[in-house]
Order: sequence, then C-alpha cells, then structure tokens
Amino acid sequence: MIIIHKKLGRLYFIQAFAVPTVWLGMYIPGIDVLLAIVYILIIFAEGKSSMDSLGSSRVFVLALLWQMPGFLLAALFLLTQSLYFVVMLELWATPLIPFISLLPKFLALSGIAYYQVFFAALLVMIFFFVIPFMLYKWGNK
Amino acid sequence: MYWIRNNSVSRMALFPVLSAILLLIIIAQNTSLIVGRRDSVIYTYTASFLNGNIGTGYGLPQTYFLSEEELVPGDIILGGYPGCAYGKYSHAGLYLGNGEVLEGYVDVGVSRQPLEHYMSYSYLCVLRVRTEQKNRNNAVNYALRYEGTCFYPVSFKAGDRYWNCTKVIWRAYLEQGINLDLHNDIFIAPESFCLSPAVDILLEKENDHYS
Repeated sequence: MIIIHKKLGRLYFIQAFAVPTVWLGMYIPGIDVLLAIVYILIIFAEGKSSMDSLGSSRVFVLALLWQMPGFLLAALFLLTQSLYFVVMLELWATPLIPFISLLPKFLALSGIAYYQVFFAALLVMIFFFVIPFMLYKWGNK
Repeated sequence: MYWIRNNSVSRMALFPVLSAILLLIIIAQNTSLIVGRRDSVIYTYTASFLNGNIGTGYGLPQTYFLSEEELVPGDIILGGYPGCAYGKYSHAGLYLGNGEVLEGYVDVGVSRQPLEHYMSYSYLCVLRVRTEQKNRNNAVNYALRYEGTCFYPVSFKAGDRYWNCTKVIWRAYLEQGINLDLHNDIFIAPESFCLSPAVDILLEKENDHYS
C-alpha cells in the first residue's frame, strides 16, 4: 500500500510539473511537441517499472487513481455543461495537447480534436498501463 | 531513452528542471513585462487573482441588441462580465459578416458563432480598426484560415498551432501591418484591443444593473 502511495506521489509530481513545462514550451514552437514526446516516454518508463515491481492489477489501480482528476473533470463537464471544467481539463491534459494541435484540420473541424481532450486520461493510461502490460505479458511467456 | 528508462530520479527531476530553464528564457526575453509593467496581462491577472478573481466572472446578459447593420466585416466585438480576472472584457470575436463571428472558444476551438452569442455578456464593446475595408476583409480571410484549429486558454503569441480568442484577431491584423497590441505583451487580453490607437470604439454598453 505504501509503495502504491509512493508511486502515486511520483506520478502526480511528474504530472504537476509536466503541465507548466509543456505550456512554457509552447513559447518556442516545436519545443512543446518534443516535451510531449518526453512526457510519453517518462510515463511509459514509469508504467514499465511499476509493472515489474507491483504487477498488472495494482498498476491498473494506480493508473486510475493517477488520472482520476481527468475522469472527474470530464464527468463534471458532462453533468453540468460548465465550460470551466473544460478549461481545467484542457490544463490537466496540457502534456498531450501538442499532439492534438498536430491533428489535420478536417478532424478538428469535425470536433474530434475536442473529444480527444476528454479522452486524454484514457490515452495516458494506454502508455502507462496497456503497453507496459502487453510487454510484461510478452516477457513472461 | 535509456537514460529515461533506467534512472528514476532523473524522470522525477526532468520536468522541474526544464520548466525552470524555459521560465528563465521567457523572463530574459521579456523582463520589461515582469518588472514594473502594471499594464501587462501577467500583472493584471496576478493582481486580480490576489483579489479573489480567477476566471471570466459572472453577470447578467446584455440588454442592448447589437444588430448586423451596425457592423462591417473585420469589426472586433468584445464581451465581458464583472469580476473577470484579466480586465473588463473576457472574450473577443472577429465579425465575418452575415451575422457570424469568428472566435476561439474553449470547447470548439476557432470556430464561427452567431452574433447573438455576445448578447449573453454583461459588457459589450465594438471596435473598428482604422484602416481601409480592403484590409479588414483581408484580416477576416486570414483569420478564417485558422478555423478549426486548437484552442488553448493561455496561448503565447508565437506559433500557429495554439489559438485563443484574441491571438487569432491580433495575428490577422498583424498580417495586414497593424499591431493591435500597444504593449507588445507575450499574451494579449481582449481589453488590450480597446487601448490600441489603431481602433475606434464604436460602441460600449453594459447591462443597466452595472451602470
């Protein structure tokens, strides 16, 4: 339990600093995309090391707890339709926003880009849990 | 990749270090905005935040009906509520004609919205840029190229991938040789347009409750 708390603390620490870093990276166009890639690499590495030490079910719980703010904000927006929650969700998902900004306009115009923000928490879980889990299972065959 | 994968301390320290470096770069390039500039967006927001205002504010809708006949394409429409953290106005749009406004909005990005949208604001202002209508039309056409692009609330002026309501207007007119930001700030707030010597204020209205 203590290990999960420690891991969760690490993840929130990384997220808390990834948000302002990627935002500040937007000041120099292109740096934000590099930082978003670094973010993905870091969370993948965190997921991989957690998978090796905790096992898949605990890592899944860890992923849910870590991205709970994102899920909550998306749910609150759907319930209240208050745009403040979309702003907060967009700020929470800042490390992934560079990828959304690279989407072709025809996707953006269809509104798909915006739904990406709502699914950002799920996207993060893919890199933190799903891919390391697949590698873990593959390695244990 | 090896370094990120195998060094857990570095994974924790990387973003704090990078954010400090980027912050120093931005401060070094914009020292006048950080020190002593009470008209900068950063100062305005910080002062408002310390007074308990963090968002766009709340208020009653506008009682004045803004009609299409009063506007030409290229006019800038501002809307605001009492308690807005970054000035009197929280939102800006570029009038396209035919009752449509191009604006950067939080849930749908840079998009066309009906003019009536601005009636929901307590404060309303219409600005006309002092230039030929040909330049206003060119600004509109330039801004329309960014329809569908990504909205980010705290967009820096640099770059073409992140837009908010003011940046798309500012850039559209900058491409016509008109800089609407008198202070050359790193962000641009809606109220900055009112302060520009390049605009005429055609109309300023507020809900009678706030008069």
